[in-house]
Amino acid sequence: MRSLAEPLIALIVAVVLQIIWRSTPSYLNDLFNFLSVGVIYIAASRGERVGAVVGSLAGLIQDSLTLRVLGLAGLTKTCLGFGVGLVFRKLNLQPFERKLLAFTLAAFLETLIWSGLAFLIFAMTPPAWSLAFWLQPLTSGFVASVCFQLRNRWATEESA
Amino acid sequence: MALPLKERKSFLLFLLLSLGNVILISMQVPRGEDQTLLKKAILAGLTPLQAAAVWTGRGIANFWESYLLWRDIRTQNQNLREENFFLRQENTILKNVLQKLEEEVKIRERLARFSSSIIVASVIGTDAGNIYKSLIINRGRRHEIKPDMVVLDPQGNLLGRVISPVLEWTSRVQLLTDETSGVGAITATKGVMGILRGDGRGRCLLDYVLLSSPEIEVGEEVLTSGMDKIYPAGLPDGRISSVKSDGSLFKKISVEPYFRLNGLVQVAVIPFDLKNF
Repeated sequence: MRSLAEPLIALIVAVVLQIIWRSTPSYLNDLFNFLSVGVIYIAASRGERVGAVVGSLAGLIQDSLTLRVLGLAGLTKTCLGFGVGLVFRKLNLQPFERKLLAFTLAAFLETLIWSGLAFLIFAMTPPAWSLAFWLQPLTSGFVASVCFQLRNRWATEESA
Repeated sequence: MALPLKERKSFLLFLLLSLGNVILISMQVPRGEDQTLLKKAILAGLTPLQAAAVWTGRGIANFWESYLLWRDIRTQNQNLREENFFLRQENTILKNVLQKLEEEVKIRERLARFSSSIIVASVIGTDAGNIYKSLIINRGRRHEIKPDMVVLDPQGNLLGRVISPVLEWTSRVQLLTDETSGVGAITATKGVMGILRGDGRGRCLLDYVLLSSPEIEVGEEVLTSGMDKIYPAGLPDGRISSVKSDGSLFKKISVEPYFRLNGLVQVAVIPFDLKNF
């Protein structure tokens, strides 16, 4: 039961934060994508399978919240969840810097795929001129790394 | 090299999920804005949750604010802001109506009717791709919102129009600054007409103004012309910020819209045709 509770709570927290963060228009709206943070965190802690499922769910929620094309973020976040889960299992990403680099790269790839698909299929131009948009992968990677680090510390303290 | 069974299962799951999403996307191509039954069902289920979360978040924030501020001052301020909101809307319409030189009594009657029928909506979400494209508001079919209804900011400046999908409790507003929006516009002093469209970066461009048209000055006001049959004539859009020539037949005119997106919380939806007002 606990194995299900953590990803579920993380997803709910991410959804609530994302809704509140984007509820008022601001130039900084693009700076954080809490759903990406949630997917990275869950994928790294639970593996690629859970990562893919949660990624798909989170993506569909993101699409629904913005009343946009359903499945676009669903697909990219599925890739994000699966990719992060797989890479995290295969490589040693325990040091904080490695985690930060891997998570940022994964989030950057997600942004690129989302922008490409949105542009090619639906002629939706991504805000390439926005600094916040390009900083989003870095902030997502950083927040996810910090959350994961805190989780590890908490787990170590609990087992001790 | 064959993959272990566990990894194969993971890949299979990944492929299935990706396929599911691709099917979802393909169901919306090429008419990406249309609603499928599935989309309607998912959106209908999720948007009330979105509205509830925003409502709760703002409620908590408001509670904290109220705790810090004197209660009476806050109430008074809120009343004044509300009054101000309606007054600004009235002012915009009043300008239009006065231009038509109608009788004072008729104007009063119409203004009273106008004030009571404005739908005040809260912004509950922004566009995932680009904040200058669209907004999501907490009013929908239940509040008699329909596509193409005109939306103004609290100062009475044109913000955009309601577009599909209009759901039960929420709807989407296409902003003036969206690249795919188009508004019939006219400059206030020289009366030069053109099509106002967004550049997707928070500004607008006044297109199809011939080089041979009268000289337009920077700072001149741009209003809706009413030629598009959606927006009524005379609504303030913005000011000319630059006029250039790029060697084509048309002038390259930039317009700074009046509305400010940053921190926009409340908007006014006009639930009737202002052209017949």
